[in-house]
Order: sequence, then structure tokens, then C-alpha cells
Amino acid sequence: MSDGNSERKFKQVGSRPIRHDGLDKVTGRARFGADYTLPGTLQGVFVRSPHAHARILSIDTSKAEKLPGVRAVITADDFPNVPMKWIPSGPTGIDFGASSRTVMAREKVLFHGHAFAAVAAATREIAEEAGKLIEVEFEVLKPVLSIEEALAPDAPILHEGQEVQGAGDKPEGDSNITNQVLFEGGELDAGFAEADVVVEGLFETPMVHQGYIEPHACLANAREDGTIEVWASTQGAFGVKSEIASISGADPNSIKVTPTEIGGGFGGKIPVYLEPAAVLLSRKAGRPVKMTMTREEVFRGTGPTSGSRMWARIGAKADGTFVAAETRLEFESGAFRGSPVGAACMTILTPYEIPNFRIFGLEVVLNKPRVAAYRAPGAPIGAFAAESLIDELARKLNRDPVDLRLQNAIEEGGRAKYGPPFGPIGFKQTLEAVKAHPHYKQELGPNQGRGVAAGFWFNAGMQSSATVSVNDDGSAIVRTGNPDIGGSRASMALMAAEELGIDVTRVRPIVGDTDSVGYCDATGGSRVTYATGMAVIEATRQVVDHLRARAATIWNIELDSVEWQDGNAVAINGSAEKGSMSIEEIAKQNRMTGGPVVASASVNPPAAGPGFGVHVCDLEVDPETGTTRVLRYTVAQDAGKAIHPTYVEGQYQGGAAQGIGWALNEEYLWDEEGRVENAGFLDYRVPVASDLPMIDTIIVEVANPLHPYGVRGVGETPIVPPLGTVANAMRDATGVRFHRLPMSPPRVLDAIESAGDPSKD
Amino acid sequence: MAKIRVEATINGEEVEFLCVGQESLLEALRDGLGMTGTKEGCTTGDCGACSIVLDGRLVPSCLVLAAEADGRTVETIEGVAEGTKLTPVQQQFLEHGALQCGVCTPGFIVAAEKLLETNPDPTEEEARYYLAGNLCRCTGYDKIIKAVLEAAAVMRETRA
Amino acid sequence: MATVIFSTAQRRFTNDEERIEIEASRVDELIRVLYARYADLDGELEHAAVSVDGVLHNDALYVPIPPGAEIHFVGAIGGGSGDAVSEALNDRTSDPLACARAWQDSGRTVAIATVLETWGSSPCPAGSQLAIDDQGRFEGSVSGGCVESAVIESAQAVMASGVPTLLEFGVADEEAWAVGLACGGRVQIYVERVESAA
Repeated sequence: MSDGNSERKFKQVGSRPIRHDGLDKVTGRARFGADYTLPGTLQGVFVRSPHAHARILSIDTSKAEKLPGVRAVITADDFPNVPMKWIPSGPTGIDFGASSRTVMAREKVLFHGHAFAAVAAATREIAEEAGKLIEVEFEVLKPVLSIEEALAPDAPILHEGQEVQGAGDKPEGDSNITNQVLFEGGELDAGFAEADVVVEGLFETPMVHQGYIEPHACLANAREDGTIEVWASTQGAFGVKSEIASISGADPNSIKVTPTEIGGGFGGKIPVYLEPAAVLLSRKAGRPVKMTMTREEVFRGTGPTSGSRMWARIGAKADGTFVAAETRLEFESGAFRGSPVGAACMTILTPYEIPNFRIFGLEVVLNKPRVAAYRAPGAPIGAFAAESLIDELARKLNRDPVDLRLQNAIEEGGRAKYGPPFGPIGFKQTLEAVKAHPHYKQELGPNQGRGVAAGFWFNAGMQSSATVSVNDDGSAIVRTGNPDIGGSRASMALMAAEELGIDVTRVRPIVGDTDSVGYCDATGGSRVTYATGMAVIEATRQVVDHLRARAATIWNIELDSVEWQDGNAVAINGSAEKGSMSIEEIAKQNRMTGGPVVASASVNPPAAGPGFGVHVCDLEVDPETGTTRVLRYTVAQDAGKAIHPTYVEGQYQGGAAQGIGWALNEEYLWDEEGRVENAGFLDYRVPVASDLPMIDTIIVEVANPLHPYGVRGVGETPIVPPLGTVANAMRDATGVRFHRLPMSPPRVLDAIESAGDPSKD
Repeated sequence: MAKIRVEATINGEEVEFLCVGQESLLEALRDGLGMTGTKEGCTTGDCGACSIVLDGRLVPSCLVLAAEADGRTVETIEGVAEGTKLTPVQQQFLEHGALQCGVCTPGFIVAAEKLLETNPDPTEEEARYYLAGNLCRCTGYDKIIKAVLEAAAVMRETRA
Repeated sequence: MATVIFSTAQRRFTNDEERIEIEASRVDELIRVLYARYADLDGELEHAAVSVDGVLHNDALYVPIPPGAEIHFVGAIGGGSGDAVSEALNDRTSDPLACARAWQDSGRTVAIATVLETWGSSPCPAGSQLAIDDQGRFEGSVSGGCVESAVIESAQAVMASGVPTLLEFGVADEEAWAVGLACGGRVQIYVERVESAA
């Protein structure tokens, strides 16, 4: 459904009410995944592989089972053997066999920390003790720990017999390549022949983690009648339900999943790591089982995003017109296939009109944790390479970096590199907004530099349901199934309040479990305000029609003589003398006029209009220590229509902060055995409050015609530009072009000291 | 395994509980006493989600042994509001939208209350450095710092 | 008439043709026509997102095609959401017999597993089918996923020998969580090799 109208004057939408769940969150009452318990709950703990790559020859759990306090021990034998099968859906698709083996290793352990058994016991300590009593025979294999090693002709093969998905010439025989992507247009060689200037570079980014502060947690209770109830910290309860069913073999209709409050996800809490094991432990033990990860387990055993190697070149004419581009992206997928290399190929350089291009990417499996989605998966990585090269072009052509982008910016009707044309988009508007912002005109001092970069994300549609009902005092309840990670409940209430014409404090939004609400796809993909919001609006409009009909009944007039205005039924035309009736007055008579007023709606809309963003960063580098201080940071991004501007700004600032951390400090550090060396927040250094300045935000609104209010998803785009933005600012401050992330103090110091050779880090 | 008996004053109330030697105060609060407002983010004192005040000192409760609380006063997030009356810090967090997922919020509020108790007029930099021990992954800290500085202003105004 | 524009990857299956005009009023009709015209394209398009005049649909089979529309088949955009989950469990769009025929036509050996009878609760009723080929591809389902791999293994032997086999899965309640039907039911499955018409 779409109104496509950007002229509407909103009364509630666009305001900044206090979020409905806020009180519980500032008083510690809100319950997250680890805050639930039932009488008799046992602690469940995984036993994890000490090897990065090994065949499992035998597992003997008998001693562990005998330890007093141990109630159940499980291994892969307790799980159905789900075959590995790639189901293409999205740039990453899904493979239940791989998901199953991620939860519990079968045949092989494929990364250090890979779980191969689990124990449920009275306490965590007992369960861990029992884990040590499990006797495993491993055939240790040589691990594959880098893209280079994975691609080497004599590389150990992680999965024999796997088909390479995708395009391009496939390798012969077994290989660690699991997917290839190719987009082409125009005539590449002719394009480069036209170019007056060509920039080229090789770039590397490390594996990084989403860094959510709440570790994974769940409570599972397999009941005597075969039904299963689960409380899980998750981005999507319906997804958890399906994954539990397919991985543990349970009948999906016997499972109820309640999403708890969730302490951050960013894509990393869409896959399941605990729940199927907790369910099987619970069944075996006959007691509820709680499983929570330690921070160390989060780093070793969940789903970071890919490290990468990227080569790219861009050619332009002397007047600044881009004429040709070529890329080769290599992404780590971790232990199983499913990296975001596809999305990286779709987004890299798509913001620009480039008539001749060849975008190629591949992914390899290697002995690291299987990657999961991380906020606009793949796009920040590709943008690092593309935006760094565009910055180099701007320098070579002596052009302002914003102007060069404006000249080549894609507009409505322009073609994405993956084929289709864009609808209305706000790329040029965000570039103009940055240019006009006072930040862009600030003076810079010694050792200071400024960088600009751009990016976008598509924003998913997918399935959502909503139910809206009116209480007999005229207040309303809105029920959906999307866990609230960033304030979305408040936006649902605002949209319902807008349609009903009542104050948002009179609307209560709730997030339901899988039995209580209609199906909703996960909170992610920047889709909730767009798609679930659409379902809420549709359901509320039906409620409004019911209310009009009730008023018509009370007044004894025709339905089309009743309008709805600002929370009141208003009699019009021939019946105008009836006047108006408030929602409270109508609701009081619900029983008399036909019963409760309730309506539901469900949607599966097309992908939301893409949201473009442009960032500016000023930073200062200390030439003696290599440390970087971010002085100023501004985010301009097209939100279509900001339902709750505070939470839109929050997404801009949060995504920028993650990108800054990725650019300056974050990386997984590995030893030669494939063990993560920095599996904690002390040495995996995310930004802290003293690292960052205030982050200015500019909300651009170019209405998305696919949504009744013009909404575009905003959650993911903010993390796409920062890697390039900060790298370009570093180039400006130090004279050095960094090709490798992170630009941490030792690397910066090293680069400054060997400056004079701009092709080196 | 003989348990240790601990008597402490928690949020103004005399509380008695049992714990084992290696149990942390965080575990005792959450699992023993059902006070789940204080959160576990890392158990190594790096994230601040478990921040409490022990005998007037801001500490990460994951690094305090439960037994150490014997005879001492403990203040947690559950004791910050006075009944239904929110403090200025809590109120400003709500008004500024200084939380997205909310899991770091209890730790931040306990730490911010302590900051303003010791320094009622912090600069932005002072506030940022004081709160550097509390990690937030969602907000980028902007609205949190604004909320804290605004709360400080409100509190100075009330006192004046 | 709609214009379909093929990506580089797709052109491998269309004899390098870049675009084609097709008469179709709905996406499923369009896909059938394309498969009839380009045999190698078979199986490549159902899971793609479809752009109709720039509007990108993830689950596009029944999306109407206005006259003169421009169509692209694109990797669907999920942005970190696993929407294929329900598809895999309730695959109503797959037609195992049609797949079996297509695979056989392209020279592969094929087996069909058919649910003959069920007792108690079983996710797939009698008549459900699973087609398996000699390269490990399979389409359709005979269970909630838990006995699938045992059936596929059995099918490989059946394809090699040509001798059909009757499988029974299902356990007493206390073993309901071992490999078998976790829902507590039982199922009888017949696996046979598909012989080509002589």
C-alpha cells in the first residue's frame, strides 16, 4: 500500500515522545535474555574445540554423565543429521545443515571454539567440570587461516564435494571457494581507454564483531507433553522457532518462542547458537535449561563479519566524469558458506554512474567462526575500497570530494550495477546537505585532516503482521512481533496514534511471542519501521473504518456519511447535524454496537527505497604516538520520513560509532593455531565515550513512494560510509593512504615514520 | 561446599544471603537475590554493565566477590529511583532518547549518578572520561552525554 | 509485453542474449516462458528477487507485470534476515515430479521417494514426494527434515541398483528424540528409481 505523499501534515509522526518501554529500561526492570528463570532451571554449557581444524573420530561422554549434578550431556548424535544444502535467498541465502553444524559440530570441528558437546548441570561450574571429563579423539588437520591460504592450490579443503554457487568460471575439483558474484556492464577496456586518470589499490579489512553488549542467552523448557517454550534474546522469534525445529528435529507447531528484551544484535542475533542445544538438553534432563554465553564465547563462537582482500580500480576523464571501474573482492565466510560478498558487490560503486564496469567477488571458507550479518553486511567493506579510491581521484583531479561525487551521483532512473533502475532517492540531497553544513567549513589545524565518504543500503521489505485493538476507554493496543532493539515500539505507537488521531501516550505497543502475534520476519534489514509500520498503518485504518461504522450505527446513518478526524467520528453531508463523537464515546458503546473493535493486517512489501548517506569526519593524529582523536563527525542521511527523529538520529550516531571503531581499532587477532587472541573487550577495542565527539546528524527526507508515510529504513546505512570517511580523513591528516584496517596507533606510527612511500601502509 | 553467610545493606534494606567462595557479587545479586537489573556483559570488568556502588565507591560487581559485601552498603539500579519518582538522570535519559537497546543503561545510570554526586558541574570531557568505563554499542554516546549534562544542569537548578 | 534484461551471470544460460521481450501478465508465467525458451535457465530464477520497473519484490511469483514493464532477476535483498526459513519447511512452490522429469531429461539418474502412510502426527501427509538425483540435488519433502538425509542416502543405493525399497521411520515415544520423527509419529516411505520411457 502506498500513499506516496510527502505533503501530508503529520500530527504525531515526527514528534519525540518518551518510548513506552523506557521506564522499565531506566529502572532495571526490563528483562533481557539472561533475566528469566523457572523453578528447577539447570545451567547449560557448551564444550568447545581446542583445534581450529580437526576430524572428530570419537566422543565418550560417559565420565561426564556420571559427575554428580550433571543431568544431561549431548553431542551431534542427539541431533538429526540435516544435510548441507544451500537455499539461495538474499545475498547470503540459508543452509540448515550448516546452521546445525554451527550449533553442534558433526564430522569435523572447523574453528577454535567450535562446540562439539553440551552439558546441563545444577551449576555452571559443575557443567564446565563435566565438560573436561568428556573424552574426544581428534584427527588434527592443518588449519586454513587466511584468504591466501584458502585459495592456495594445495590448500586443505574444509568441505569436500561442495558446489560453488554463483557466476564466473568455477574452479576445477574441490576448492574452498563457495560463491562467486559477477556484474558487468558496458565495455570495460574501451571505458578505461577513455580515462585520463586511473586510480587503483589493494585493500584489506579484518574480521570484526558486532560487539553487542548483551551476550547470547536463552531459557528452554521442553515439557512433558512434547511442547517447548523458549525465551530468547533474538532479533526474530519466528526465525528462532524455525531454526529450533529444523536443527533439533522438533515439530515447529509445538514450539513457542518469546523474544526477551535484546541487548543489541546488529545482525549477529539472527542466527541461533544456543536454542536448539538448550531444547535438547532440556528434553534429556526433564528440566528447564538456561544457556548464556560468556563474553569470550561471544568472540570465539558467534558470527563476526568477513575479513577481506579487495582490489579495485576506477578511471575518470579529466573533467571528473567516471568512465570505468573494476573490482575483485575476496571475502572470508568462516567455517561455512554464506558471506555477504554478494551484497558488497551490489553496493560497491552503485552510488555512481559508471557506464563500463566489471564487479567480481568471491568468498572462501576457512577455519574461523562462520560469519553472520553485521549491519548492512558487506557494504561497509566494499565502500572502504571504493570511497578511498574516489578520494584519490578527487586529489588527482584537484576537485572537492563532495563536488566530484555530486557530478557522478546516481539519480532516480539511474541503473544499479546489479541491473534495475532506482526510484526516487536522496543521494544528491545528502551530498548538498553536507556541503552546506558548518562542519564542512571549519578550519583545520596542524596534524588535522578531513574526510568525506558516501554509501547506501537497500532496506528489506519482507513479512510482517500487526493487530490493533481499541479498549473501552478509547485507548489502543498495537501488537507486533518485532523485538525492539532501537526504539521501534515507539514508532509503531506513533503511526497508530497518527491514524487514530489520538495522543501517542494513549497507544500501548507490545512485542508478542510466536503464539500471540502473526508472523513477523526478524528485526533487521532496516525493515521494521517500513514493513511492520506498514502493517500497523493498515490494521489501524481498518480499525478506523470499524469505528466509523460504530458511529454510523449509533447515529443510525449511512457509513459514507461518517468521516474520521483527529480521533473523532464526524457526521458529514446530509447528516452533519449529528455533530461529532470522540473515540472514547464510541468505544464505551462497543458492546452495544457489535463487540470489541479489533483489526489485523499483514504485508510482504517490496524492498524499501534505498537510503543514501554521506559522512564528514575531522580528526587529529598525534605524530609521536600514532593515536587518533576524532574532533568532529557529521552524518547526513535520507530517512524518507523520520517517524521518531530521536531514534533516527540514534541510528545515525550508533552506526557511525561502530564504523569509527572498525576503522581505527577493531580487529580479530589470531595466533598460528587459529585461536583468537583478543576475545574480550579489553583487547578488542570498541569506541568508548572518551573516544568520540558529539555526532551531528542531518535528516534528509526524500519520500519513499512505497510507504504510506514515505519511510525508508535507516538502521544500516550509517555504518557504510565511516570506514572510507575516516580513512580519507587520515590521508588528509598524515599524507598517507591507508589500505589496511584498522588504522590503529602502531600502524599509523609505522606509516608516518616510513612516509614518503604512499603505496605502503 | 559450605556456604558463606553475608549480611549487607542493599538499597537501604538489610539483606541476608548465602554464597560460595568464588561467587561474584554480580552473580549473588542476579541469581541469588533475583535482582536482575544489574547486567553481565563481560565478567572481566571491561564493559561497565555490572556497575554498582559499594560503600560509596563505583565498582564493577563482576570483579567483587559476593563475600566482600558482608557488612557493607550496596547500591544498585533498583535503588536509584525513589519509589515512582525518577531521578533527573533517569528522566533525562528518557527525554534525550539516550538508550536504544537499553542493556547498558542500568550501568550508565549508576555511574552517572555517582559522577554527578562527586562533580555536579562536569565539562563534556570530564563526563566522557568518567563514563569511559561504560560501553555502549548502540548510541555512539552522544545522547547519553547530553542527558548527563542536562541532568547536571537540572540538579544544579534545583539546588539553587 | 515485458522486457527482461539478463545479468552477466544469467547470460551464460541464455546463449549470451542480453534482453528479450516476453508476453506475460504475472511473474510465474514469465518464469515458465523463460524456462521453456532457455532450458539451462531452469532453477535459476525462482529464488531471485524480481525488479518490476525498479520496484524490488522478494517473493515475486504472483506479482502482476504491467504492460511495457522492465524486469530484472536479482539476488534477493535480505540485509541480514533469514526469510528462506519457512520456504524450506513449507515448500509449496516446488514440484518434485516436474523436477524429476527435468533432471532426467538432462541425463541424470533420478529417484522418487513417496510417503505411503503415516501414523500419528507427521509433517508430510501420504502422497508427499521427494525427488533426488544422482548429484545429490533434491526437491520436495517427505518429513520435517529429520529423516530426509536417511531417505536421500537410501535413494543413492536405489538409483545404483534399480531395486526399489520400502523404508519405515518412527519410534516409540521414549525414543522420539532420536533420529526419527520427533513429533512422535511414524511414516512409511517408498523409494524407487525413475525409469525413462523406453
